[in-house]
Amino acid sequence: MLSKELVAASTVPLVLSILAEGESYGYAPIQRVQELSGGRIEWSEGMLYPVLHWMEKEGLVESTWKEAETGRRRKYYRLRQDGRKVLQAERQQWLTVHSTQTKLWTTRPHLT
Amino acid sequence: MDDSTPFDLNAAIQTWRGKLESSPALSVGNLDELESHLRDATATLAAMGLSTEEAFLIACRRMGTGAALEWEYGKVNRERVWLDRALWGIIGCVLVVALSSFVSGLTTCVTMLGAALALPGNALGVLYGFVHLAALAGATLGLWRVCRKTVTSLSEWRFG
Repeated sequence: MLSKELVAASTVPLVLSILAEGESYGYAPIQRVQELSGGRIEWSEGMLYPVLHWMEKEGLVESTWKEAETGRRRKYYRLRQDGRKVLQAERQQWLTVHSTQTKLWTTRPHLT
Repeated sequence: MDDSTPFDLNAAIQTWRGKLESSPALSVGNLDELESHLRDATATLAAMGLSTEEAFLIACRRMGTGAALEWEYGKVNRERVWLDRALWGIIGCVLVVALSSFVSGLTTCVTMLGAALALPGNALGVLYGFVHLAALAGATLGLWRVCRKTVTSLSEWRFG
C-alpha cells in the first residue's frame, strides 16, 4: 500500500498517463490503475473526480457528457495540449527519482 | 438476506444523492457524475456475483463518506462554498436585525400600555427593563434552539 502523501503526489501523473492513451470516463482510470498496480494503488474512488475537475480548471483536460450504448450518460475526459506538457515534465521528474534510487539500491543491495 | 423486501437501487441512489444535495460543495453536475460512477461500480460488483444491495453498499463505501467527498469537492468548488457561507451570513444579519426590531417594538408597546394605565415612573422603568430583557432572552433562546437543531441534523449524516 502506498502512503497517503505518495498517493496524493502520484494521482495527477497517473491520470494524465491514462488519458494519454485516449479519452475516458472517470470509472475507467480507477479500474486501470488497480489492474496495473495489482491492487496496490487503491484510490478512494470519489476523490478522483475533484482531481479531474481541478485538472479541467487548470486546462490540462477537457470534458464532455456522452451517452453510452446502455443509454446512461457519462462524462468523458480528454487530454489537452497543456496536459501533455505537464505529463512530459512529470515523467522526467519521476524517472529522475526512479533512476537515482535504483542506482543507490543496486550499489547497496542490503537495502532492497 | 430477507427476500420479502426487495432492494430498489433507484430509491437507494436517490437517498444517497439527497444527503449530498444539501452540501454547497457539490454542484448538480458533480452529483450526476458521482451517480454515474456509483451505478457503474454497482453493476461491476453485481456481475461478480454479489446481490444488487451488497454491490451498492460496497460501491458506496469505496466512493468515500459524505464528509470526505464534501471536503475534497470543497477544495475545487471554493466559490460555491464561499457564496453559501456569505448567504448564511446575510441571513444571520437579517435575523438579528428583525429580532432586535421585534424586541424594541414589544418593549414600546408594553411601556405605552403601562403609561395608559397611569403607572408611576419607577414602575414604568422596571417594566421597560423587564420586558426588554425577557424578549431578548426569549428571542436568543429561540434562535439558539433552531441553530442547534439544524447543526445536529446536518452532522448526523456527515459524521455519525
